[in-house]
Amino acid sequence: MISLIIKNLWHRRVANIWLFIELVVVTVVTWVIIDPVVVRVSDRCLPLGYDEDRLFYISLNEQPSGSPLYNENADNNESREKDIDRIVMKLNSIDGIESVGVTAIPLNMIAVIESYKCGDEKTDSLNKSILHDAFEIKDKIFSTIGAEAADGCPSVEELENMSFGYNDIILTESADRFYFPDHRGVNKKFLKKRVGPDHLIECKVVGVLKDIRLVNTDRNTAYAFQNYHSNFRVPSLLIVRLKDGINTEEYISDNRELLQAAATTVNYYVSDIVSVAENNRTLEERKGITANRNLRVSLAALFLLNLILGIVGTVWLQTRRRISEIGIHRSFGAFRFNIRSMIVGENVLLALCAVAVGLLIYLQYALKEGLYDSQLGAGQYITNHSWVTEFGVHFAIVSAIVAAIIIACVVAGTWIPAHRAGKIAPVDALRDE
Amino acid sequence: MSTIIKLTDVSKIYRTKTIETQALDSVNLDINTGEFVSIMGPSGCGKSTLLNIIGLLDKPTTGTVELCGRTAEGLKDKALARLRNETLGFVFQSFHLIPTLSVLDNVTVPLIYRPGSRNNRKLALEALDKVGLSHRVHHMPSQLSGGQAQRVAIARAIVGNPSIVLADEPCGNLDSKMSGEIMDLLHSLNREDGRTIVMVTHNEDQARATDRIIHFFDGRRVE
Repeated sequence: MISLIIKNLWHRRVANIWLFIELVVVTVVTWVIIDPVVVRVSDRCLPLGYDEDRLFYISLNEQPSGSPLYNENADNNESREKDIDRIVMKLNSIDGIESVGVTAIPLNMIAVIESYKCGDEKTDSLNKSILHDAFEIKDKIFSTIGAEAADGCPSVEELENMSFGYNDIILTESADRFYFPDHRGVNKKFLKKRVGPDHLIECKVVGVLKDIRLVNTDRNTAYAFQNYHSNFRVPSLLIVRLKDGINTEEYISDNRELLQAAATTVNYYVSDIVSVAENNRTLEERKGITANRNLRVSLAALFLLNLILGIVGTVWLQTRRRISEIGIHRSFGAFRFNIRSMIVGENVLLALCAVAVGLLIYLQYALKEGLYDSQLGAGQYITNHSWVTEFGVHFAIVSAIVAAIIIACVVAGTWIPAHRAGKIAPVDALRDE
Repeated sequence: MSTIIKLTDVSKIYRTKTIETQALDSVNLDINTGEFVSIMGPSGCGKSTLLNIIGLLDKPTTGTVELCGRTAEGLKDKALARLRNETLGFVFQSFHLIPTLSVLDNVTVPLIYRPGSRNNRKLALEALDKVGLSHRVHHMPSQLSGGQAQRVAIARAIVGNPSIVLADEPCGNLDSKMSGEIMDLLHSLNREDGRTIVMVTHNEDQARATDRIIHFFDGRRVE
């Protein structure tokens, strides 16, 4: 049968040339459309390293000095710390809440505050920055989000019960590997370089956490966490973990007023309560990732639908001209299945050849221009090793996906005409001249 | 001699929304193994319909068809296709060669659908040798004369070694010289290989040269 398919295809090569060209073009365009979608989806599917389920934020703001509710006596660091402690205690006593942690900004809104360089003042061998976040480590921030300590390092509980100095740092494993490739960085010292005028401060690594991906849309897992002392006026953010079996959205909806009351003090008020999952989704939307993905998927769907319709039309015409031939095959013992296989097989083989040519064409472009990487904008920071950055693997994976999509479209477009051709009675087919 | 083709009370009615046409009317027919039978009659009398029904290409409206002792009634499409492949070979008036396949590939077609068939090329070459076309194996059908094309069709009909060859006006598109060659070939297949041949023809001379002539008129068998 395969030999017959190849011979049929070869003898009809002129008749098939337009379909072949169309498939080559579709392969190239599909590559362009699908590649970012595949990379983005792959990035998004990487494990977060923490559990976003049953986790929500309570955003706190301070009353502005002009507000009638503003209390000047509470506008100091000591009062702020007491207020936060009081809020955490109250929230912990609410039914359904498992634990509460405090941070300065949402997990996915981390920005580069400072960069770090390992070694002494004269050494400048490492000039990459990592992302840095500020946490109130005295609260149960790491255990609340579900982070874990790296093997052989102080546990999360030990970290949360430690007394931290201002320049004590907790790294993730990726950051630790970057700065100390040969050995664990715990208790090692390195220099922190402030942004602005050169100023180097000696820091100490006090703990290493297993990798966590704070931004669900990127691959970066290299972070440095520094203790946050409430010595400057910033909005605070509470991270709350609910107990097992509770639906976060329903809980927020049912208990919003109770949560607001618990998290309101003299100068603090609740500005927003939102689940971490929802916050991550919002971030994707705000960055335009969701819209871009939807646009590309819609484009691809439209494009491939057109392809299917084009194939249906072409194959329909081709099979119409081959009715007599189908009758001959049927009269000499071909099953309906054989006829379907022959027609679908010819078109799949044609598509495979066209996809191969299309991929070769795109490869030339990719070798010159490179492949899509969602993390290119974060070039100065460490990003994790991934198939996306390996040209060969990246090209092979996306090519396989493109080929699978096009073959699926060809099978879908060929199936109906092939099925109908297979159903023609042999005697009717033989009458067709 | 045993009966290889047995038709019992076979009728065929073609129905459209407005017209009903009786192509065959209660036809009974027994053909023995090794017989060379001609079917004759005016155009539209049901000869080709009969051949299509014997060849399992069409189903009778009523009645039963038995080939090689197996009844075709109730057989599903797959079983009918298998029976066609194993027991029947067809020779058509307009040759019905596949224009995009070479002579050799055309002859190989029945073997593609035979499960476990090996040495397809060798068998096809033997069949082509038998019809005297071993020197044309790589030609395309468009490069053959009518007589040569019909000989290729005969090679294709016998390549799977079927017991029965059904020939629908095999010389209808050929001149008298070519017709003579094709008839000689069919007779040699009948005599030397013992194949049962059922041939539809309008030519009385060709019919007279066969073992038996069956006449048809208005869908009925007439003596």
